[in-house]
Amino acid sequence: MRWFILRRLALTPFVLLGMTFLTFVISQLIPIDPAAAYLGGRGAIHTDEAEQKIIDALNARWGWDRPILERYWIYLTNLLKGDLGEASNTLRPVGDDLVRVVPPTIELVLAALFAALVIGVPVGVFAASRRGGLWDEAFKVVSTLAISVPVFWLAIVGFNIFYGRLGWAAGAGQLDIFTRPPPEVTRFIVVDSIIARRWDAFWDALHHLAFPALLLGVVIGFYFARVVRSEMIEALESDYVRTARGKGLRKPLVLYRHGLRNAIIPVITLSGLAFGSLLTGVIVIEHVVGWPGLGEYAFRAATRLDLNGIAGVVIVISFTYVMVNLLVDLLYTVADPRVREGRST
Amino acid sequence: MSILRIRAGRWMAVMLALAMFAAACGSDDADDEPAADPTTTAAPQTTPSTVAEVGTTTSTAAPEGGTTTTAAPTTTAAPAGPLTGREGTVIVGKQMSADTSFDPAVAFAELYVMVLGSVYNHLVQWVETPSGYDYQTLAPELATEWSSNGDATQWTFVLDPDARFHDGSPVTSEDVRWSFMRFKNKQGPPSYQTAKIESIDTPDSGTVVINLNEPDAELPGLMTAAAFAVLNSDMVAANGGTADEDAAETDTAGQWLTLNSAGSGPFRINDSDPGVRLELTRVDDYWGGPPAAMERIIFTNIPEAQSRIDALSRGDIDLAWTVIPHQAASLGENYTILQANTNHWYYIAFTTDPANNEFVADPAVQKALKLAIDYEGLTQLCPGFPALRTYGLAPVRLGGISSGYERDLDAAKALLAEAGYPDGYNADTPGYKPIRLQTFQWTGFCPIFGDVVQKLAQDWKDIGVVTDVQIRDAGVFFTDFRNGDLDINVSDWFPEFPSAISSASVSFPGGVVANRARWAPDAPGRESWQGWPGYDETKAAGEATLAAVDPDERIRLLNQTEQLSLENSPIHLLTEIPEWYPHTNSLTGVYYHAVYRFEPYRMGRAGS
Repeated sequence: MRWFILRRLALTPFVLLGMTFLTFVISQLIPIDPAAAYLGGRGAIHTDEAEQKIIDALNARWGWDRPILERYWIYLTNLLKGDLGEASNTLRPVGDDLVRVVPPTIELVLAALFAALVIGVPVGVFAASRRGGLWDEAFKVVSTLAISVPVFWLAIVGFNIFYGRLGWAAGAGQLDIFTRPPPEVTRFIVVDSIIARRWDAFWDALHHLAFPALLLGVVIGFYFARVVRSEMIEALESDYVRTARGKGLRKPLVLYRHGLRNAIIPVITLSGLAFGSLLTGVIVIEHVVGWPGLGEYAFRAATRLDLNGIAGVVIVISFTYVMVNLLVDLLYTVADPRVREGRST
Repeated sequence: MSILRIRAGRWMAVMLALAMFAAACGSDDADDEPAADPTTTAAPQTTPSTVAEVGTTTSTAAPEGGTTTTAAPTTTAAPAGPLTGREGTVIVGKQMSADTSFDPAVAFAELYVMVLGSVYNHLVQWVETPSGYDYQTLAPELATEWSSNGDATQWTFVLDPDARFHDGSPVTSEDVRWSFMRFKNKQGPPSYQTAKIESIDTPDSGTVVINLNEPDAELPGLMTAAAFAVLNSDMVAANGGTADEDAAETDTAGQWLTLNSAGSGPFRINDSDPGVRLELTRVDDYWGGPPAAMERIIFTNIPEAQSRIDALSRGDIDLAWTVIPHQAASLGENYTILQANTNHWYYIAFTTDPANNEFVADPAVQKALKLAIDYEGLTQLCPGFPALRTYGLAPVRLGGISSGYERDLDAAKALLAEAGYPDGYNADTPGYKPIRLQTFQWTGFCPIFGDVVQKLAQDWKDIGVVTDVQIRDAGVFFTDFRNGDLDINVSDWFPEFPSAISSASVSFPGGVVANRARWAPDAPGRESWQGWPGYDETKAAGEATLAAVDPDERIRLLNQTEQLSLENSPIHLLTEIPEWYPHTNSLTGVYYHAVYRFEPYRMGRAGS
């Protein structure tokens, strides 16, 4: 197990290098002059001479006119020094930007994942226990809708109803306008509120987190629920469950101890995969609720061809993926004794 | 009831409790803010509770043959007594992702211009009127008078001796020189505005002499552009700023200027989290007049337009920074949707280079295509919210011509036939190249770019001309645009200050927009030039317009050039692009400013 973890960790830098290289190559393949794109629509430059002068200055600043390999080499050497370059979109170091935008997104994704598990697992078990019944049919319809309705539409309509009309959800951002943010320690606003014992900020932050996390949680949760349902149905028909029933165990005990324990294993794998869906979903949610996170940052970097910004986002997401998958593998060995024994022999 | 059912019921109860928790937490947020109560009845938007008084200007001939403008001191009064708390706070919901720098020398974003207009002063300003601004007349701000030499190559500004920065230090001619030279030498995207500035002299601490490398009778107007903000040079220099020639490499004040302010305007930056939140606070001892009525202006990032409207309807914000008007229609009578005529317009450019497309590069065809456009229909693309029409090369209200092409399909077809295309043009015909009608993806306007090109394609089908509509990524579009590789393109123009001539000049032969149509022998991408009907005449008219000094003569010459352009030019303005800003009626003094968007200094509260 130790070697497995070390091997995976040792491979991580190479995965990140590969991702940055791919990012640079793909950015080179797009038929865009970054300087022209940067200026496009931003200004009313009156003469070609003036425009060329500005483009030369932009190229000198960001090296956009250099060959791709030279740019990549400069990027790599800076990266080894911990310098991710300057973002053309924000005019700040990418590293500083990421330190600001990653924690809000992690906070949102973890809350959404928690909500997804809390919603998905019991709903899946419930549907499986009512297989073929009215509740099961209703579950199929609702889960199909939840999975197939575009998140963007769901987010806008949901925000309009729960915030704009009903006033249940909080407004945009992580805190209300007049709530003073807690001192930054971890940059996770909920955690920082607890550390600072700022309970007003804590409840306000939770309130602001609730809508986007629940919305994403519902979408991913129904995805989980479908898997749990099918795994549960299979488990409930297995010999060991029949034996458990035959022994006279109570139904909930049969369901949760014998059925769910086996059905839950694919959910662990799915949680890792769901991380990808969540990262996609947060781009949309963050845009709708004004969440100052990685999704909105990535969207702006991509649409404004901020190459350093895009590369920074790719590194963060790739690293997260690698780590989450490693965690999933580890959890898998904990949850499934067959895997654990297979690896140790 | 089985135990499973009970457990499942418990799960549902947990979910319900979560929902109730969210509901309980969120039920009071709007009600706790009485000042933002949307039921507050406000004075009508057109009759603000107070009207700022402004100085008057008189123009007389200077001894050297130039012009001198002297002005009575501006007595720009704030709308009412200073307000505090929520009542004295304006909250604006805005897409702030691009608002990441407030450094005058490098930034290019909407909020940037508003910040520069409120935190900093400029040499001169547009005159305020009860309903907005008069863009034909300048009022003093830091300068009390200004004059030019005979050919408008040298401009002298005399500074107000009372002008003070926020730290109490006087605004001197050296501050002006330093600010403008830093702006020029930083070589940031807006630095093209300094292209004509050769040098700046400061004969004394109260006089600034700007020397130009070519005549510019509109330089005072240019001085209202956001980037010509006057900075406290000592303060910025102490934080990494420099105006030296190598400022592009050595100036490091950008971040500092985004988080702090070094100005003399009625507001200062109090809290800045770029892209997320910005808070401006009132300068209580503002040198230019009484303090602003509003104590704080808070901008909060709400990227999605519908979410901004939701926030407005909840009373969480007072003003939503641009929406599609139909989205705001549900807001009801307690809100006003301000239609801003923005000096921002759509134009069409036809290539003049047969290497791009032989059909489009035919002057007669271009005239036929112009005649086939349903101009009135273009202004109605945002149903119920019509845009203003344009006719020549500049908006009518700034002095552009007020009549031009009207749709005439018969005349258009006759011209096509004359050009050798009696049956129109369709790329299905062997030997015919597709006509690429291109624009780029950009939302937030109404109509959007895509709607305009679709409408044009439809109009041209009526004369048998079939185009290939391409709505492209902005980066790809502007790469080809800059190279002049487009057959027909629809783009927009948003000048840095409202000026008919400055705006129109980009479409004169040799101008940057004209070059995108390759309408010049040396335009980028052009390999051969066989001449163009009326080119020389239009070019000469344009040059005469730019060289003229007398304001009336300049407009007369502009109109002459516009008339020639109707006949000869491959560039044609289509319609203005209005923007919509819904706000609560309790907020008064909301006037669109063509440079700064809004001036919080004029804002107040109804009944206060």
